[in-house]
Amino acid sequence: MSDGSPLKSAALLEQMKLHLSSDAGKDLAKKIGLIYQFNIAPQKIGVDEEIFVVDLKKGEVSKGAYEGKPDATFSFKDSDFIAVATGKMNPQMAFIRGAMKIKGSLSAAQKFTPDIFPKPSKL
Amino acid sequence: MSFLGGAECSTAGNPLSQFTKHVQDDKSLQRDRLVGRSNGGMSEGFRGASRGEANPEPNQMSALPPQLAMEQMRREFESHHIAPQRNGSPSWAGEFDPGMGDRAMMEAAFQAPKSNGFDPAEFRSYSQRTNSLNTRSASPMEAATTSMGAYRQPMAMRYGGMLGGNTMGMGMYGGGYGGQSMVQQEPVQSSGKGKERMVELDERDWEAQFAELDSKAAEEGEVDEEAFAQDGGGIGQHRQKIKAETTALAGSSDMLNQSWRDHNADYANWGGFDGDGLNSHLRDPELGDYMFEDDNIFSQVKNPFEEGVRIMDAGGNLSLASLAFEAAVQKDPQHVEAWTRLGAAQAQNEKESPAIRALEQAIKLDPTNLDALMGLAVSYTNEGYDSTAYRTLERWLSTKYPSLAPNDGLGTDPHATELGFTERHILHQRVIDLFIAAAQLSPDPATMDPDVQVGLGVLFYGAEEYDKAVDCFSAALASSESGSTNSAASAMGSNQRPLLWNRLGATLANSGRSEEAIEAYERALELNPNFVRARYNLGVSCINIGCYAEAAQHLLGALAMHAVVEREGKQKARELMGDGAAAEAAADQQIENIMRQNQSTNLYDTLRRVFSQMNRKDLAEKVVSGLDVDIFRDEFDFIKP
Repeated sequence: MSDGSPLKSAALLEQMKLHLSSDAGKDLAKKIGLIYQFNIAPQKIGVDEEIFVVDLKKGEVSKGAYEGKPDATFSFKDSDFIAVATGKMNPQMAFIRGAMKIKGSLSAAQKFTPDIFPKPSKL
Repeated sequence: MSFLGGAECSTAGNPLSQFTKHVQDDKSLQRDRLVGRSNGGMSEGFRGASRGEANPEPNQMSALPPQLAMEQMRREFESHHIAPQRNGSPSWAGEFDPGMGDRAMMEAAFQAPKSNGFDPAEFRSYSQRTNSLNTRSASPMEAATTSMGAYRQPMAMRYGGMLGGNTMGMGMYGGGYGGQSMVQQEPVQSSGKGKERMVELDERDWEAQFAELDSKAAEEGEVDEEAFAQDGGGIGQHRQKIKAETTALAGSSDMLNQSWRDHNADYANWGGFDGDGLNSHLRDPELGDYMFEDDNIFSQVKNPFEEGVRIMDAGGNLSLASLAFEAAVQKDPQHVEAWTRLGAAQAQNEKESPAIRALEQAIKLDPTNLDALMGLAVSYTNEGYDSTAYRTLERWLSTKYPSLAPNDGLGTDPHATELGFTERHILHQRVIDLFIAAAQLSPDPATMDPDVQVGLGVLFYGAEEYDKAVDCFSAALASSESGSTNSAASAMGSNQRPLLWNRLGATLANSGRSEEAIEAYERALELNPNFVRARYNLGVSCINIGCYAEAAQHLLGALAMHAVVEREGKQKARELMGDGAAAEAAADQQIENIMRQNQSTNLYDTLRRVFSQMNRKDLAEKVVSGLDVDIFRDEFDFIKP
């Protein structure tokens, strides 16, 4: 909520930004080297979406649609995105259940795993 | 398949086998898209797939030019209206079972249709070739992948070979069904070409064909993306249907779950996400009642509660302490303190769900138990149930400082209603204000209430205001270290410091200060080496700074702590049950059972992730539920509890 977004995902992506500047994050950018766009809706996919771009080429996270063509675009509901990114839901399962929609290259989409997100620590 | 084998060979009209085919069809499509193509040299595929596709060489699925497949499948959906009903046929599980003889299955599948001149011998040689092409190492997934191949066969069968020519496997069908399918379905150019050629090919050319298809698939990568995007609509529709069916499938999902689990421990939680469970992040968690270990070695102890307290105070093994408290609450379900401590022990033991269940039970019995409320708020925060955490904290405050917050309205019932975003924000702000007011009651560090600081820290943490949260936890630490009497008043007073260090560490870690976090965790572990959660967090921070080997050490150490029940438990059980071989055997059996329940999937998942980031798929595969951590001692040096 630090940037005023009501989405929990926004906070997670904020953390992602920090993560990408770490050593592990840089490895990640090297390893994957793709650009993902995430359209995240508070309640229902396609409604009031906020758009984030995780650029694993440059190692950046930004808000707003990507200028150009991202390698893959994912649409999520906020809570489903959190579930996938924190490893509580398998992306494959999310896709099958319609909790995740994909546009773009399937092979790029398949490199999207919860492992690219920093693991949250627990109080 | 084996279950229905006879029926399938005898007639295509067997209704049960038709059912099976429906079931198989749909899922194959999903698998095709998600699993089949995931092995383009990319080891970081979808989690489920990644293990299966760990071997870099192409399998028959990947040779399938997906553009064609998509196009055809879409058509197929339009022309064949797939009956939406499903049954819970046991063959589901059977199909996934890696132990199933896939060769036999494939042959059965081939022999089933009567109207073609297919030669089983030829097929056998083909499948041998396929096997030799896939020079896989002997891994459990090998069987799984191949059986998946087999699993696809019935689908092609039903579709009358419409997929023929796209892959080797399908190509065989093209040969078998040639006439029929080509008339029926005038497939996209290269598919037809492929199919005709397939028929002519002799065995030696298969490999060449394979390679060609591969390169074709690579060339078509770009186009394929477009096609995929365009096809999104049709597929989407179908997926909707599948989704509906999934619900209908609930009856058989247990079996399905079982077979998933065999392949992939990641799926173990699948059942938990049924239906609306997915939306739980904004709602209240509904975890249900506490699940006890089946056999509890402490059930014979006279006063298990005291035993548990003793273990906790001595910084002993948390799994043992949990068992002791479990025995205590089983003896006396009204024992609030035992429930609370059970929750605390489970949380520290990195077992969040049991912790929440136990604490909720404590609150049910005594809605004003401060320790339980605070513990619950922390656990809710960890699990992302923010609004519930805020309300729990509000309740804590109104109980401890009734003058500040009259106990009414939302505060009385943390499970009131689901909150919208704005309401959540308002609630959050209100609770923060209350806590700040409480903190201002005694601003002097010597007399301040560290628990207020902890609550405030949790609140700021939940709002990602980590700097403020760090200040709060530091203040609470300073207060408890200065020997403040207030913290001693807390039931968990003496155990408070490692907890606080860990909370400080977690806050630092989540704000990207992993190095400082590691120091904090180490302080926590100095005070209590058995603090599994701190060890887990330490592992997580090591991952985040890219020190995977260290991360593995810590995570294995944490798992070793869990495994301690096995060793100490056996001894304990022997003490309790008297001597003799019979008692020993019984104890072993009990321990077995204990190990099965209340495991921390989180630890396993994280460890697996570490290994895969180390590019050690071989190790990742060994991380399965109930593993013996000692098998990793050769490579990693970790704590011996």
